[in-house]
Amino acid sequence: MGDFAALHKKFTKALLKPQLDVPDGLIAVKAPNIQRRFDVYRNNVMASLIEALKANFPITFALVGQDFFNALAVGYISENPPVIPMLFQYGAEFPSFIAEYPAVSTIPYLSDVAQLENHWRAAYHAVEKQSIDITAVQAFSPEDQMNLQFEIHPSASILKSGWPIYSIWQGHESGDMSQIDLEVSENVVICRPQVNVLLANLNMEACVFFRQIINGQTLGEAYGAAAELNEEFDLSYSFGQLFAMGLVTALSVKN
Amino acid sequence: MKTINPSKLMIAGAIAAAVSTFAAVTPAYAADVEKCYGVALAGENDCKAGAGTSCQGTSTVDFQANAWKNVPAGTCESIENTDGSKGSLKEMKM
Repeated sequence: MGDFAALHKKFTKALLKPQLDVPDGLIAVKAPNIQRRFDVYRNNVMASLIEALKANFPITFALVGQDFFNALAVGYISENPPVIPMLFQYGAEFPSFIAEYPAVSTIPYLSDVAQLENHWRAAYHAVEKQSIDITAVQAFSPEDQMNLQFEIHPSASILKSGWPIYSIWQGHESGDMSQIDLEVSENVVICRPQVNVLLANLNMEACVFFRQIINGQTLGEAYGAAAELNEEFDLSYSFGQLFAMGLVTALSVKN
Repeated sequence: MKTINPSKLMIAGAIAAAVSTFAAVTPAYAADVEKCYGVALAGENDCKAGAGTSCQGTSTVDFQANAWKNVPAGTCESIENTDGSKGSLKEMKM
């Protein structure tokens, strides 16, 4: 039993690292060449995991193309085999792997794009919940409105970036990447109130506002933090956007 | 760094403006698709949790009446299957 466990361990290790030898103790029935048999199996495992990453990171794939993506994927897979059987979650560490990958230095935004794809997929598979309509705030007095706290949709998240990740995402959706200004930093809020994942671009102060609301601060506190960053902060617009994105599932007043 | 003390009237005003602006428009996400029963081909039904989860693609016959597929909103009941049956917004008896 102990021997089998040890063999199993060597087997999985060798599976994802082509430079390692076939583990001792493996036998190919009716086939003299165990190396070739093992290579076929190795290849199938690697190819299927590359396909999984490709499916999970379609924009990253589109930005670098098949050959570069394959090289990235092979490097990632051999160090980070799946830890859960649901492959739609595979690639949690792919963005940080990309950030460390030397050849990516000419495409410095690639890691953030992959991170956005992780957020997108997390939202896509998040728990369903009903969002509420903006008119629900009319039930509260001006005093209470300042102290409103928001219950946030389970699919909601924010991603800050030093790169134009929203424009890149949009460019990929529309098929036109030619108009993207790489000098721009963009922050994105992601939510899936119904079937489709929604994304919106937030300026710095709107991002602070959304983050405060998501973290449980009151409306007054969130407004104060955003206005401190920029007096011109458009509360009316951002407040409307909270509901238009379906981020809010319940309201309460902090005492 | 100066701190800003938001007044409740200022916030109430902004909220009232947001309500009148945003409540008039249907949220972008509302009714973008509708569940349509009885039009999915075998194994091609959609499912609430989305792709990659266990209930997607489990219907076993073509146009299964209690299996639904997301279709563009407003188009479900005009869908006619190759066997002559139609799409339905309500789950149908098998």
